[in-house]
Amino acid sequence: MSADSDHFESVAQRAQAVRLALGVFLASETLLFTAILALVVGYRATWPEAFAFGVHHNTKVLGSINTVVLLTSSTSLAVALEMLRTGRRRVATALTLFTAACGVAFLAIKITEYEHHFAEGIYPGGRGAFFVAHPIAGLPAFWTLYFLATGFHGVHVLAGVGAVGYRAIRMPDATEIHRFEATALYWHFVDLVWLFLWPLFYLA
Amino acid sequence: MTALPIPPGAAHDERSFWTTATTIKSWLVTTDHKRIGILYFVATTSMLFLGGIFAIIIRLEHLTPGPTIVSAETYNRLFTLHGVIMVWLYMIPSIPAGFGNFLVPLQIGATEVAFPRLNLASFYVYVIGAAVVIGSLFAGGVDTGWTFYAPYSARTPATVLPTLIGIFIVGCSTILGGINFIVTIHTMRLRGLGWMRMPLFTWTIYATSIIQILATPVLGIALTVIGLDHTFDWGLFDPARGGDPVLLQHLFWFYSHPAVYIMILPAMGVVSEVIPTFAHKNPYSYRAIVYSTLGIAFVGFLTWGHHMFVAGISRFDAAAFGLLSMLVAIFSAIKVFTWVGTLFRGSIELAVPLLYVFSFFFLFTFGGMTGVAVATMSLDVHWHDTYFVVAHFHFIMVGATFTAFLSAIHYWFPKVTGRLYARKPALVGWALVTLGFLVTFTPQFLLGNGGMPRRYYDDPVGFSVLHVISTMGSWLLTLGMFVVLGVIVHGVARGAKAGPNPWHSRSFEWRTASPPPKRNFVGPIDFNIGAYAYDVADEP
Amino acid sequence: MSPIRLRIVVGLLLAVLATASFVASFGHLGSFALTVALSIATIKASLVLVFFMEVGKQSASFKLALAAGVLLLVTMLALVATDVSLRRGPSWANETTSPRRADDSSL
Repeated sequence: MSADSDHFESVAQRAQAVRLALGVFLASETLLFTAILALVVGYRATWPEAFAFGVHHNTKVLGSINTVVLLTSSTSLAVALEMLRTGRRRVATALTLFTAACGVAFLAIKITEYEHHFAEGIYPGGRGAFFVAHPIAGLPAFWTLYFLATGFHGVHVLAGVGAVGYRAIRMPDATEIHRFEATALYWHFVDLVWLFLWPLFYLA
Repeated sequence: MTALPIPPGAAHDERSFWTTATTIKSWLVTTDHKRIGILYFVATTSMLFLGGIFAIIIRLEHLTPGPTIVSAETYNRLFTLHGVIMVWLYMIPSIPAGFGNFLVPLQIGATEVAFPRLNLASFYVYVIGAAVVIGSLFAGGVDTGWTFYAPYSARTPATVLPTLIGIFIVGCSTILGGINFIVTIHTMRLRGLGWMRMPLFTWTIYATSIIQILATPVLGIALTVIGLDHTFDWGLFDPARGGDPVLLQHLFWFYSHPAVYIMILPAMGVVSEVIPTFAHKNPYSYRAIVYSTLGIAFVGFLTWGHHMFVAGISRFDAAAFGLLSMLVAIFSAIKVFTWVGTLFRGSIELAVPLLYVFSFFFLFTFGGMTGVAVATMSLDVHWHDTYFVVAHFHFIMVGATFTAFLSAIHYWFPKVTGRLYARKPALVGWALVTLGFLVTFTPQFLLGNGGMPRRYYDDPVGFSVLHVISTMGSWLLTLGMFVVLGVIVHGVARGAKAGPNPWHSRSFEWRTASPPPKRNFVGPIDFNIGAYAYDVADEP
Repeated sequence: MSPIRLRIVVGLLLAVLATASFVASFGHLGSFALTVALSIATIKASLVLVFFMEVGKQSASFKLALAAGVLLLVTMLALVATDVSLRRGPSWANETTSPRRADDSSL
């Protein structure tokens, strides 16, 4: 064992510590998005018409493509983990890089969506021509929350691309597989969050 | 007679963690949890004094009605920064990151925390956040109150953003530290040391860490949206754009109520260690203390709306939060009765740490019961935003938590420094702090009940006498704090050498040298005799 | 089924569910639409949790941590929802600005 972890008695203990740390971290992250969801719940209840209107005018096709992109990326990462467990490192590396690429694609599509919103005159804070054309009470709240939620989520995707990409380059060996599992847990969590943001802002 | 397993020659180990490396660099890049604990202790205690300076000025302003020494604008900034610094830079990290870091591995028979480098990183994240908050002072400070309510926090001309960013960064440190402690306590316990044999202080650090990691992210979002509203006019809480300021209060208090349990639980952990030691008796019910600790941590998340009774929440929510708030008092009461039961028929030694615990009992009970009082919605309508609330939370924050902090300093002083402090000056410090506290804050209950609003620059006619008494109390309290500081400094420099276990405690951190060696324990560790086994005779 | 095939099947299932959710969003389900969408989302989330994150195989403390997060999520959303939806009037912002009368006994 390396000197920085000689306080652990065994690899197994270290692996257990890393996995638990991720579990605790993800619990923390759950609360981060809970706070944003609380605002969504509060404002949806206050302004149902505005939210329905906002959802209807959102970039549903692009948002849905992004959903498929993230689901694909989670699948590829899950398969990559299995490949790593069975010793097929090359395939695992390729799939992990593919996952990172999906993350990049997600962000690219997201930026495209934002550009579309700006072109329509939709900016955070209820500024823009769209709000002048559609003076619906509560509509600014919908769009500002949309930017807040997808913005926070996007930052997490970006961090995930970095983590997954790093993992692809530094593929751990069989004794350190918990490092890969930890990265994968984070990426799947980011996917999970999107699974709920998508219906709330694009579908209903 | 059964001997406690203390290694021979542990009394004056030459290679303590202090002496293994003495360069400044060795301290700045240390991954030794004991050194990191001391770094946190020094940093957070400095913040205590900084926040205290603001408090002194606030109290001086209230010596006379109308302007006394500062303008109204400055006064608003003073009480805001006092709150921000005291809550986030002192109270939240102080006992967990200071004492917790030093003691938890010792108390569970480990050589280190689970992630030592993350531990060091957490400290630097704290320092950066604290520096940003202090830096914001020079940008003029904030005048919103530490609660940053909307829509004023979005509209104020004060520079809110640096303070928000600083607190956000400190919050990240809190989360990282919480993860580290939870994983440490789960995975690094000495083989054979089950959960229900751990020292009680470690249990409270565990419960505190759970609250930290679950509550702090919500604060992060609250601060972010306030910052976005203020800096980029996002208007999320602007009523003109459909915003609801009460929703921000939901986010803020969802964190800030559990935050007060982050502050009090470690203090309760200190009390749970000090009492068995100086009563020479095992806790009346170990399980009661453990379960009430977990109970407080859990129920503490369900009560946040009692800060919003008059904000305009629904009647349903007000009723729900009022009821749930009462539950917390049950767990606190269980603790107090268990502590008293531990003292009963104990062989009591009136050591300074125990005297601080006696102050804690008195002030925590008062503070806690006034908490139940303001949690009663019909009463809160009268007391909300008055000095009654200010007195209530200062009784808990200062009267209870700070008192326990001082108890901890005196209790673990020999363990950390290997020396003893001078008892008589320490007694003087205790008396001044306790008396000073009472004189400062008891009048504030009367002020608040009489209708004096909080955060008011001016004192309406008729409140002057109580304000003057309170201010004089603040001088007494400050004097006491400086006496304590003197006792500590003198003790570090010239205190008599302490043995490994001057208090004859059974708790596990006392089973190694004072100060401990770098790797905490020398030779095989034996925790078969429990941390509260006072039926086992000590070896002289 | 081999672990790899299992993951691929789950991935396909997720895509099918996402498509179903997408299609359903075009139907005129009114207030039912959100329930349908979130229900499908919950099913997909469960698949990810069980088969990708392997939550079932993690330690008890890991599961406890996630459960605590979910419990607080439910708590916060529930109490915010009951606040906003049960306040006096359809929406606080729609209330009149006239002061409350002395004989108005509602909170």
